[in-house]
Amino acid sequence: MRETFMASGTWRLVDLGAVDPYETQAIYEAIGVARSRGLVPDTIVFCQPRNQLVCIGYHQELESEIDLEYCERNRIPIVRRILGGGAVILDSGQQFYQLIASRNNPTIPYGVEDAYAKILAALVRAYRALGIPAEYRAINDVQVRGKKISGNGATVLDDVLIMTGNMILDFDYDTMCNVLKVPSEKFKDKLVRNLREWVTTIRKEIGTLPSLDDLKKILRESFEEELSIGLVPGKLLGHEKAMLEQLVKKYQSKEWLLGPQLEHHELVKKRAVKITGRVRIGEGNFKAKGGLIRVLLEADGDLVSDIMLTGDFWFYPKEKLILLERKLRGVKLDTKILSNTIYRFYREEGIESPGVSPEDVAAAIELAS
Amino acid sequence: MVEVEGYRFPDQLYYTDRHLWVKKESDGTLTIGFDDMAQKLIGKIMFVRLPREGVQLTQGKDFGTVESMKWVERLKSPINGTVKAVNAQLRAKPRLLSEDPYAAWFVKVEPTGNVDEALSKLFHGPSLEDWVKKEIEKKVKKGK
Repeated sequence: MRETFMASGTWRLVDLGAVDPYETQAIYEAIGVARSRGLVPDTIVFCQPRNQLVCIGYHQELESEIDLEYCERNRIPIVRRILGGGAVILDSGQQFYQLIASRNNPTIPYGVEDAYAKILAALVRAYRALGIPAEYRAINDVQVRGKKISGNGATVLDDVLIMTGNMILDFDYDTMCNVLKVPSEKFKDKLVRNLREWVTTIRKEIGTLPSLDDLKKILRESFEEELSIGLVPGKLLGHEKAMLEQLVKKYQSKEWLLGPQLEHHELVKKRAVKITGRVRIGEGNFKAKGGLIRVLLEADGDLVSDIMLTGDFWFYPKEKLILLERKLRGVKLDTKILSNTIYRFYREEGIESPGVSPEDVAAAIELAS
Repeated sequence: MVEVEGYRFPDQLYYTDRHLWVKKESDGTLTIGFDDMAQKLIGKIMFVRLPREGVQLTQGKDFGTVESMKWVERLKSPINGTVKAVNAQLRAKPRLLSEDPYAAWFVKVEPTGNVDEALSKLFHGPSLEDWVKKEIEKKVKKGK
């Protein structure tokens, strides 16, 4: 479709104020779709979640990352975003920006590092205007004396860049740790201490909070200055609102929330079907010192053809667990070979898994085979 | 090999404007990967998500994603066809895309429809060097 709104130096600023938790992630996608069709100009949105939510990254495994029971008990919705990164708690203590711009816009670099550097410069400027000595740290961080003070992520929809992030006024460290799946209270305490030490906020830095109007004014001016653009206040259009309504349904659906687990869906389904020939499905539970390891295994002859590792053990960095599963595909079902493969993975990827040794994981796989 | 300002483009391959390369194999299948400019622009890739074998690809539609530094990039299929093989190695070692982008393929596809017509829309042959130069101006140098 022909671009009606050409990339230019005049952008739209949509200040939505407080919005529904699911809308926080659907808004930028709705505008991204409209922008890709040339129906709206490049846009920056300001918003805050009305209620707390857990937001997980596009490629994350829901069940291995999030304490689902805690979230359900405390009625905290979980929303998968189309951007990358890890699980985070979002709430009204954070002021969000959402930047949606054509990749043809000459002011926005095309590459990942250059785009982050240019856009995050606006956040650095805004923090400095508040008297906080923030700095840009390559590739996608804004820090104050080495402490994180903003989280940012991005994606590309057709030829539209979407980048979102926050300025942190206050941070709910305890809930952040409670929503993450950790093996014990001891680990949770450690996590809270680490977060308090390495994530800072506007309140912690200057001892007070600016008014939201002042903060948004500073942020707006910072974007205008750093991107050399003019921001003209505007509203969401009718077709954007209609798209937003549709997308909220997607973000609320179980299929979307499960996301990358789809990779395992065929495997999970096979639990209920009769397996013939060389292929078999087995489950194994192994109680290691550091927790229970659950294995769902598909074996083809004497090789691992697919595997899912879950349980209540500590595995850090968590996102590497899926890589270990992938690494194990095609590996011979032999205790020594499995142990060596897992050991090498632990070493190469710097895995910390207290009380769960490579031999324990191999034993769980053996039980499932 | 076309090489401009350190960006390498083997001239037997076909390229999309989203910087995927396509190789015509002798058995009629097409292999798809990320080109050198793509891997340099996106940086260190942490995740790769690809379709399973047997999945139908549609020209212009997404068939996978990669993630680098919280940035998700979608892979758009340049052709219609059926996935015959998936490079499972990339799931465990996405860094291979940076180490040797022309060896680290994503999928092998059995194309359907008019393959020559689909390939004719891609960048290839004598015009390749000019296209690379324009892409460097348009993408590598833009907005800095």
